Amino acid sequence: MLLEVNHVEKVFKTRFSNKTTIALRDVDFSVDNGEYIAIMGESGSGKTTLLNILATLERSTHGQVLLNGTNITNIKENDLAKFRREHLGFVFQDFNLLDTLNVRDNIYLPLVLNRETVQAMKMRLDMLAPQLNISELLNKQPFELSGGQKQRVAVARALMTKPDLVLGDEPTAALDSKNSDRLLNLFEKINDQGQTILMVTHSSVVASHAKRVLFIKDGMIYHQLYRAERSVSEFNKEINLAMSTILGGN
Amino acid sequence: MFYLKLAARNIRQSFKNFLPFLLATSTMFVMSYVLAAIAFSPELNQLQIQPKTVSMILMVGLAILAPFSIDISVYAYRFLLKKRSREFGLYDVLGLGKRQITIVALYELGMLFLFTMGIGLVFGISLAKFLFLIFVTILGGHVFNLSLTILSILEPLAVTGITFILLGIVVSWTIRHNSSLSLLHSENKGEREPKARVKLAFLGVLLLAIGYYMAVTVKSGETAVKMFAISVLLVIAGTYLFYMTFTIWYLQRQKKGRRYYRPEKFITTNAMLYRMKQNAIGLGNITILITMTIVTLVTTVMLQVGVSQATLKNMPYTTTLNALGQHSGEEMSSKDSLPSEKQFNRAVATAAQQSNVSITKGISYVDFGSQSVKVNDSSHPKITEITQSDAQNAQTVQIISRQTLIKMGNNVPNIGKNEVLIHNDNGHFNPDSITWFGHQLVVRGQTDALKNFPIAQFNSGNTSFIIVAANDQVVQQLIDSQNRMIRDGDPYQLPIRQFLINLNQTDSAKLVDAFTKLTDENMARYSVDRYSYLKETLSTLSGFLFIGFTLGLTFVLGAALIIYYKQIAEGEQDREAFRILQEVGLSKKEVSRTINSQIRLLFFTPIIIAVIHFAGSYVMVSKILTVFGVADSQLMLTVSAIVIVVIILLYYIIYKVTSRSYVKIVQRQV
Ligand SMILES: Nc1ncnc2c1ncn2[C@@H]1O[C@H](COP(=O)(O)OP(=O)(O)OP(=O)(O)O)[C@@H](O)[C@H]1O
Ligand SMILES: [Mg+2]
Repeated sequence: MLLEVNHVEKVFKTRFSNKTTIALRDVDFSVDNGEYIAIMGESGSGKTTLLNILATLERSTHGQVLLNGTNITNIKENDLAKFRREHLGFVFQDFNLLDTLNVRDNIYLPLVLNRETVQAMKMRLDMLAPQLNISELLNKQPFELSGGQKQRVAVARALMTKPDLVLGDEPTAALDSKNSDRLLNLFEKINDQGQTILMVTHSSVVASHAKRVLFIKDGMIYHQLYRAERSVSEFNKEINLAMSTILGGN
Repeated sequence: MFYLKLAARNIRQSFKNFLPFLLATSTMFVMSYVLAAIAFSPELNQLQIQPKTVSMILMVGLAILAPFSIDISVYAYRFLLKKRSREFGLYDVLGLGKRQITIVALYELGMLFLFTMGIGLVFGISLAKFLFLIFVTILGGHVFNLSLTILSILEPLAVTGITFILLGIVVSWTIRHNSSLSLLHSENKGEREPKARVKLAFLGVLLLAIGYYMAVTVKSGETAVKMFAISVLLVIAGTYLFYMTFTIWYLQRQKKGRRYYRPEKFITTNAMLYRMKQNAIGLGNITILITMTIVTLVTTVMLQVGVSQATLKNMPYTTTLNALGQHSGEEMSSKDSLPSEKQFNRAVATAAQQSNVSITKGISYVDFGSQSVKVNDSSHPKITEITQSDAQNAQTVQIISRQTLIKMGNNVPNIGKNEVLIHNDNGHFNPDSITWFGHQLVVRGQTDALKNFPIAQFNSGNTSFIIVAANDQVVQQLIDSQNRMIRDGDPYQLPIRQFLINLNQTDSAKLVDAFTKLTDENMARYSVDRYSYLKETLSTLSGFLFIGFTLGLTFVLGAALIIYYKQIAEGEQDREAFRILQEVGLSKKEVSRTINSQIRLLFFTPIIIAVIHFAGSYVMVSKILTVFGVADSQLMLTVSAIVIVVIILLYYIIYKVTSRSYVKIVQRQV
């Protein structure tokens, strides 16, 4: 088992009032190596919170998360960053590229932080660049790129470290449908090569590209669907159906 | 009316955004006001030493300050605009036309102008009064008073007015030339990496080199001021060029280096390179302000400490009485102009009797004065020509007898009639023999440091030496031969009879008073009471001290303001970057390390360059100080070191305080 999420709870306390928000009540699921998972839910259902906990950017109030058997909720503050850059890759909604670096150096960034050699970085990028179709962009500055190009660069950066798990928070939200499709196809392709991917989204179209979809509601995993051998559009229909049943309950 | 109300509401609602801008404009106003208040004060003319030079320096200060003030204000306003462009874009999208938005923005500027004037005047006047009060309290007596003059308000008013007109143009242009969409997004507009312009980079270094060369090789005090102005301009231009081009060139070279892909270097180099264009001017401004602060403070403190030290050194006795004979003016020989020893001693004794002061410890001698002569570089120089003190190869020479030095308590070895000793006051004159206007003199060696020898009238700026001859008769012969060579227009030095004594303050005043009141037709009498002389000199100089410290404070304030602005502006820019870096895997510790290394670089660069600039100006500053009679190189070193340490400390405090606001903006709270 690559990832085990055991009874995770997250309660937010606001600093100024005593009001508490239960973002996650009891989230429990596991992920195998090579899976491609989408977590779906409405706005405010706790998707980002869950992803941030998996990403070690936030700590859970209760429960554990094991990645390859390591309990990541116990990692010391000082070791978190190192853990993150060695085991996880991120693709965010707003790309999160550094304006100060050109595209190549943005992609190199996690490996630079890992103090790897220039040859190693170059070798890895030479492999990834053609696949992601970014070879022509390497010497540009981020502001010269379109949204789709930026997101492909962000994917390249996420894959540079050969992470155990790639996490995505609405990675297509800032893209038009064409670029969005392109990115999702790309995800499928790298998943086929064995990369485990977990992303959160509120769009059934996006989710239908995954192999498995988890539905989150009221801070719990409510339901799950496997794509199996179905086509994207068939899977999309089924997801929509499931959603209307779940939401219809409201 | 609607727009006016909207403008007022905008300011009220986002006052937090407007505050740093107001801080900038008001501080600049206060600075200009305080400087102008001194520069245009009628009391400036009461300074007894060089009031013209002081007012010129102040005018130069104002002239430098004006573009600074405009630059800082525009910088602050653009920073404000950047934060507000989203708001403007929203107005545009919501249907308020660009014209109307511009009107609102101009109304806002108008109100900000009034605020600036109000705050600036209140603080400016209070600060000027406050500084003045502190001065009166510390120094007492009649010092520089600051009266409110129209000009001192008009000058900063004009500068601020022009600044705001420029800001109006800036905002109109920004709104007109940006689509509403780009206004909405202008907060994160990217920028191309600056190009390294190698030729310009080396031009900057060249300008610096020429400026330094001029400053270091400057000759005498008179031309120093002119040369100083030119070299200062060169160095200022060179500094800006240096930051704008050389640093970029350097950083880009770093990028090609082997160690580029080390985490600390990687992030810092790129972050610095990315904003070097805006950084360059700011760093240049800080550097120049700090340099000016150091130069101003060193000069002022040197004047204050140096003049009293020089006075004590040049006037070893508290009380000096002296006299010249009354002469008719035709065929002057130095002997004729001297009253007889008997006559002089009688006058001194009478004065002592009348004032009831004991003068047994006093000494009496003839001072033959000093003369500038041409001395060629040789081990057997032939001195035949009297010249101006600033001419080439000019040396100021005083001839004194061995007897006189012994009277003053010096140990002087015995010398023959044709033998002399040399005492170097400032220089390294050590020949084997001298021909002094026809007299062959063998140099027996150098005398040790002279005790109790008054060199008040000695020009301490030039290279100068003292010739010690066997006795007064020999001295008289030497002087006579010298005076025979005097041509029309040459300065003529009259010998005087001197009486020197150390007394307490009241006795000294009494004796001097009695001596001046004597009635004796045959002598022109002069006297100096060191106590009152020092007091008077220092009280004149305290005006300088006041001006110097006000200038220094103004410069430091300006530097502090720029640093503060850099920190908050860069904090806003870097916040996003550091968030991303932390997500990609930069630990908190590494974040602080990176932040610190960036801050350190930006902290140390200007202060190091400022200290180098000061080192370059060192020779020139000391030359200018000799115009005021201060020429103590040991003291200059000490004062410089202390001033630099104080400035670095002050600068460090400013940086610590402001960088805290940077770190607070940047650090991610998890
Ligand atoms: N830092 C925080 N402090 C307090 N409450 C928070 C915080 N972050 C999230 N919440 C609350 O937790 C709940 C879940 O938020 P979360 O951002 O995970 O939702 P989401 O599923 O990502 O929504 P969306 O689809 O809109 O992005 C919400 O009710 C939100 O208000
Ligand atoms: Mg979310």
